[in-house]
Amino acid sequence: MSEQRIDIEEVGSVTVARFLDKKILDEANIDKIGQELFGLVEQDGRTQIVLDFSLVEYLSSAALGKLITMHKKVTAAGGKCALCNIQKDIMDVFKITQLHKVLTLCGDLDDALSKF
Amino acid sequence: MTEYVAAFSVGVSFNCTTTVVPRCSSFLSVFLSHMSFYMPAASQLNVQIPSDTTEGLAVQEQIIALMEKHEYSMRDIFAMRLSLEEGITNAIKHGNGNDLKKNVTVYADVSDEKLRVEVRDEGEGFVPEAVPDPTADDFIDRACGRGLMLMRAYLNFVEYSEGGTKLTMERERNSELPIIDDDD
Repeated sequence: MSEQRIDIEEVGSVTVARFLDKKILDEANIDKIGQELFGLVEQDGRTQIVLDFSLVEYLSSAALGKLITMHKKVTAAGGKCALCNIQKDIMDVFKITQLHKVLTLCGDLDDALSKF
Repeated sequence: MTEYVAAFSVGVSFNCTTTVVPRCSSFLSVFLSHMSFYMPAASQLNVQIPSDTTEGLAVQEQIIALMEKHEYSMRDIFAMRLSLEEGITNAIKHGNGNDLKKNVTVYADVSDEKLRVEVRDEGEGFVPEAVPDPTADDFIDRACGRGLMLMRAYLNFVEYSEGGTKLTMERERNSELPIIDDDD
């Protein structure tokens, strides 16, 4: 069994998925993270999801791709996906790529939970 | 298997201070006693790796180590780590098509003022102008195509030459990000 890349917590009806990696850069790691994220929707049927970035210091464009795909999957399932606790450097990456207009970016966890 | 084509170059400079020379000391001994070794003026790395992203990450770490040696800020290191990841991964995945028989060559020149990194692949090349704008309405929700955009944002100079098989990246110390459109 390979190591989990995401920690899962239930807060009411919302699933909080916290990334455990500081650097989401490695291709194999990103694929694993994608599988775990997509499994929340496709296998577990979860549709109210908060992604917690509090530990994340680096992420690549390949990781952004997984987040976009996750956003599409949750939306297609009639749910919502919010991102929270994003460090400034990472927030810059979202803004440079204009993804702050596509994804739901929040402040802290409470702020994200208030969106549901 | 990683082939290290050349090792770091190490420059040495001398710091000669003005002092009163003691009567009993020879000039040479005083000179040596006041000579000190400084940070290298520049550091170079020239590495050839197979098309394996794990090897690519190892090269990134070596270049980041050179930046740390030259005391670059965390913001500079963030910008270069991101750009190196995008540039080297592009060469491995899109340039060489993950073909382990093809290599990627990375040359880095790190000085106190700026970094210059060249990444060469053995692929067919591409036309950078043909890469769609990932922020355009038709492409904003596509899962790929943002690497080049990020490099252009975080670097002072980005150029694909030799038919798209050679990437040149430069970043000056403490460069600012471009103004980011913050509209919601």
